[in-house]
Amino acid sequence: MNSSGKDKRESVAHRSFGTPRLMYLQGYGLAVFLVSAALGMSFLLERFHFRDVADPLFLIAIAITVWYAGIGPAILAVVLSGLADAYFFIEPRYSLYITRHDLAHFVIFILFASLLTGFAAVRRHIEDRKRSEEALRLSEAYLAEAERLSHIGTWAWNPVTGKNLYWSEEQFRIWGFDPQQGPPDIETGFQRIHPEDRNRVREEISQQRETSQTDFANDFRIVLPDGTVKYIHAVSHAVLDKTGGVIEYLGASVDVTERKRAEQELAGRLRQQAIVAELGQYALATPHLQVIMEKAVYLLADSLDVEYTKVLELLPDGRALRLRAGVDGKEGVVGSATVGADTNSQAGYTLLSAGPVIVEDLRREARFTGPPLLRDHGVVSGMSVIIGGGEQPWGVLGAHTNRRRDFTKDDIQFLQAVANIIAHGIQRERAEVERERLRQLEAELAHINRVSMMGELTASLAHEIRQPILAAITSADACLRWLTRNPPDLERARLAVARIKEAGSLTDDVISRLRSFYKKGTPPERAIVDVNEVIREMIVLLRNEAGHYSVSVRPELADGIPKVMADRVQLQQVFMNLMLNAIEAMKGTGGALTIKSQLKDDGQLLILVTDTGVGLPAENKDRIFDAFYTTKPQGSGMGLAITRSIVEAHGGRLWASANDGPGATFHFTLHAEAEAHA
Amino acid sequence: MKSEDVPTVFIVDDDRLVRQSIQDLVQSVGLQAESFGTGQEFLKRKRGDGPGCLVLDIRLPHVSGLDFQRQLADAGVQIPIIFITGHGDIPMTVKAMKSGAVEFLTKPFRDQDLLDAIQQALQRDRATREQQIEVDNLRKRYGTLTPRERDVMALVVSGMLNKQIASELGASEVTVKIHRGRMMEKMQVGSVAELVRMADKLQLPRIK
Repeated sequence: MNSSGKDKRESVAHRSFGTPRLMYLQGYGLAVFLVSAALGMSFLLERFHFRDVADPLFLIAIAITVWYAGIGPAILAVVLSGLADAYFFIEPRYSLYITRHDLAHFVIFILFASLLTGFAAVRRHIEDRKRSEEALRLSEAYLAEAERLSHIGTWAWNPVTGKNLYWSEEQFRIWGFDPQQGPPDIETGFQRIHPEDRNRVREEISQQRETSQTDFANDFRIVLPDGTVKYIHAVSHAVLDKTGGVIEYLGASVDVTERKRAEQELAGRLRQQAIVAELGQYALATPHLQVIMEKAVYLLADSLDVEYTKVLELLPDGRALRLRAGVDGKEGVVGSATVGADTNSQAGYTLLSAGPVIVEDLRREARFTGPPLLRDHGVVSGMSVIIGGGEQPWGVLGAHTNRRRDFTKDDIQFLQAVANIIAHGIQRERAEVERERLRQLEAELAHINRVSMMGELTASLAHEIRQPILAAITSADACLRWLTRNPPDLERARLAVARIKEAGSLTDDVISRLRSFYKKGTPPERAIVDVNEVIREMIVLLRNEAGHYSVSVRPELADGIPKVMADRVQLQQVFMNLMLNAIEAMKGTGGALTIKSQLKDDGQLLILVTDTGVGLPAENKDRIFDAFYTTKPQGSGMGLAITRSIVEAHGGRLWASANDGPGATFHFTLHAEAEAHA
Repeated sequence: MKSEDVPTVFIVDDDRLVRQSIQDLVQSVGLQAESFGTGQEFLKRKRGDGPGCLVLDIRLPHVSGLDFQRQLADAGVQIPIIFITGHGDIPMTVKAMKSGAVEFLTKPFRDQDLLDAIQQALQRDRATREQQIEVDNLRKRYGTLTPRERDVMALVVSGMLNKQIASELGASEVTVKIHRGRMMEKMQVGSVAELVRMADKLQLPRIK
């Protein structure tokens, strides 16, 4: 430590205060110039009859030289002045010879000049040193300030004596030692290192010393007496003598705690964001709220590094909260429990305060009384947020730990984000329940519609079933007669039995078709359906009813049209409704009911149900599709509304138009199944 | 018996199984039977001379059984009709009976009831046919009479004596006698009473 350091300090001093010190040659040049100038001036003044001005002028030149150029050039100036004086001015002039008479004068001049030089040099030296010291003092102050600002402490250590030679102020501050006591010994320093890091650092240092390296770095934590933990990045350098032996170690301790904290905080925030994203995606993919909640409490406990997390649902009476999901650090998922929704619990308090609640220390909490559940588990710190649920809060999400912990704003935001995901899941579940309820209601309504249609058709349907039964009975009679003939005609008897069988299965067909139509089809089942086949079936069921009112049914079904993906019973219902409506419209007059199926250019099926009846109401043509709109005395007004909702549920459209002639036409479309051609 | 004389039962019903089973039942008792899905098909069929009857479903699509009954009458087709009806068709049944239906059977009917009704209908058709044949014969005979002979016949039937007839026609009694003798011969009758019965059957107008 050493010349280079000193140089640095001096250069600093000069830059700020010093008269610029001339280089050596310039200094001597100045001496020659000034002496020459004094000589010239002496001759000049002599012309104007000044006497004995040379000596003072030479002294002035010497004085200026000594001030600006230092002692060396000043001596030159003294010598030159002496020579010039002896040669030019002391009698005999223009000779170096000096008379005895003038010797005293000359000696006194030289002595005076030398004194002046010496005095000026001493004075100058003192001033220089004062400046240097000031500069050094300031420089050290700056260094200390810089160390404080950058949290860098410096030190020097002698490995031979094992003593710390030097500790900077910041070094004391970082390590928490009293500067008054001087640098601590090396073992005391080691004791400050975090127990988990201490042995590692010892090992690292001893390994580093064995190698021939001269620069080292170590990272470790230190624990101050008050429990504060600091992260230290230490660098050191070995100073060697000429033989390569280590004279001393120089080093610096950098307090990187803040940076470490920031890094950890950032990493934590990123991890929390990742978890929020993961949980959010999971919640979107899973319809089961319970699964979402369980995953949330698990992820929360893991990422916040807390022992307890829980989801509490506010019960309908608003007086208690029920544990829906939770994690207990020791026992895994906890069982069922309830807490009061008042100030007897943090959850209750959270609901009352309508915002996030952070508890630094439950044992000192005054806002609410720690519930036994938390106290029994030795919970110290925790936080809780509200899980929203529309107008009313749905419940509370909490995280607690047995350690004293300051939860950050980020932690609270993270907790709230998770709570929001759960809230979203709750809303989705509620919407699903509501949709399911509507679906059931619709299915029930559709069933009622079918039942009432069947009621209207009872007579016709009875006929439809009775016909084949009559055929069977009559055939059986015929069969008996063929058998009792003499001789029995077995062939004719066989034919009659075959007809009985045919009639029997026909009856069965009709009944099962009716039953499938009649049954409560709660979950609609989509399957590939041949629309023409459904139309034919419905014509069979309705032909009697149609005949009864002198309505002829005319199917005009396009061949080879594609099948559709549909619920068969619902599709039957659509035809049943439209055909019954058409028959109804022709009750008084009779007429023709045409059912046409065709494939449109855009690949959709178009079905037209045309009657020649009374036609659509002149006003409010579209109201016929409204619920409860009816023109029939016994009508529920639900038929067309249900029909339209069924068609739309199948992705189609239903509309009505007036015919050119009498009557109306109902049109509806259905999506054809692309590949499944009939 | 010629084949045309074998009684034939016609069945018109839109339900294939029903009409086939009725046809089969009828055939099992040795009667001829033919069945049709619509009334039009039956109308197109040329009927033979033998007796027959029609078993008709009162609820036919397009043209109902009652309408078809009217169409047959309009077309001059005389055939006894047995209607088959469902429950609750009482007004229709009444109409059918008024229009001269022989019988109506409510589904489901006993086979014997149907067969009895058929036999009865055939009997009636047979009688109608015999009557028809007699009338046809008389018509033929009547057709051979000259206008003068027809006048004489009308007056004889009205109970006039030859003298009265002669004065009525402005002819001599002898001439009237000749016309009367020829007329009686052509009509193949021996007594006035017989001639009066014939005139009744021919539904000739009576002269007072």
